[in-house]
Amino acid sequence: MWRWFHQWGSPKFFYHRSGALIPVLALASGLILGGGVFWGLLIAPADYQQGESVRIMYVHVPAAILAQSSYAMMAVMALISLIWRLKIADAAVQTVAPIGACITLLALATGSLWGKPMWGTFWVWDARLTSTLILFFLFAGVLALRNAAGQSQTAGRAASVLAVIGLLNLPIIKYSVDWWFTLHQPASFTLTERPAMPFSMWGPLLMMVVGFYAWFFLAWLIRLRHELVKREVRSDWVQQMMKQ
Amino acid sequence: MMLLRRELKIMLRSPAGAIQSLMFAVLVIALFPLAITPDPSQLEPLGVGLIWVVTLLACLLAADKSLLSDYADGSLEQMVLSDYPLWWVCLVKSIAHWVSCGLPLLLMAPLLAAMLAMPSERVVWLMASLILGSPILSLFCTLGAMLTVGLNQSSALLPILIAPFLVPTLILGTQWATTGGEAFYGYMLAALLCLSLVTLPFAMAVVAKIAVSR
Repeated sequence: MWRWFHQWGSPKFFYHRSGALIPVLALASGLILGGGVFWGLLIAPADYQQGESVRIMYVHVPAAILAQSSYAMMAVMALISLIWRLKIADAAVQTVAPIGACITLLALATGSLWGKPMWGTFWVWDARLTSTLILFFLFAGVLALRNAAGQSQTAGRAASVLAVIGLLNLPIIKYSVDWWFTLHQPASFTLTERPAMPFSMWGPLLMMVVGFYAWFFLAWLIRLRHELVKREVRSDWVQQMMKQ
Repeated sequence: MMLLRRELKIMLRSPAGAIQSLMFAVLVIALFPLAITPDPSQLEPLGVGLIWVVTLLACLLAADKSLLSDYADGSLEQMVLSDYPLWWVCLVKSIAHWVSCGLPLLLMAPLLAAMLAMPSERVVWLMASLILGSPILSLFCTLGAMLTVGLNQSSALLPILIAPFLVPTLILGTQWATTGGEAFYGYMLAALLCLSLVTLPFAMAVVAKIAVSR
């Protein structure tokens, strides 16, 4: 177990072994996303209440799920880099932050596009919308600190601390926003509950979720490998690779 | 205690920082009637929220004042190297921030409330919510100052980092005051204060070590 951990923590080992994953992930995300888009946008039935705009959900729901879990993954990587000082974990934090921020933005944008025909407005101060917006600001904070502090190792540690504190605060933020919404306003809008979605709808949705995850790991891996080479440019293994 | 006395002395001998925070708050509150309406019946429901937001902004603005000079003249490094426990140093920094910023704003709140035509029973709950809430603001602001000190960045970085963390405090504080002291919000705000008080000094200690190693 520890040996495995140490091996994969070494940039050289990681770089050489992870290369094989790229075509697998690329193929998987391409096929699954393509299939999900085809199934969701062309074949799946329109909702009897929401009409054709329900199809936005096939992008929105996966993005929203991925937004939250990518923050969790970033914070776990940050914790690992703080405790064990693994270089690769720090690089992982740095490379996942922009992807996570974009996904969160995508969830917000598709949500408001869906909200216009459904709720008649692009934005309501609903509990879920508000906590997603705050999640975006948390990502932005990690990115901003990282950019401000430059490339040094201490910069990475400061950003990692911020990411971990953010993860610990997420439940507090979420609950306080829930209380603010539920006790303060009468329930004006709720995400329409569809009791027992038919398979023709949750099938493509599940496919899109899996496809989003595959694409996310692909993008993360490519960025991470690029970042590792950049950081280790003076080391022997990168020099050797350049010569070949 | 020596540390605390030092901070308070520095503050008393140059009260400009505290006065500037107060001026900022009064000025911004004065802008709202000008921009929205001077009608008391329309200003009154906005009062609690406006005063809370102004307090929050004033705290963020004043966050890195004392830490910047300590960082520049090397006393921050000496504090980290000294045999005081580092969490205590960080807690003292937060207390100093609260005394120079949170406390004056708290005392000023009745005046700000009068400017916004707030009824006096609401003012009592506003003060109560600020008493519990402003120490949390100070703790987080000091954390932000520790994170950004020595980065030579624009002053907008700190609010971007810290404002999302202040959302729960803002929500619970304003809700407590506007609902006229509904116990649930008060308990939650108190719980948040206790939680911040026992966890944030240790988080700040980690960050302070990073800050002096830059």
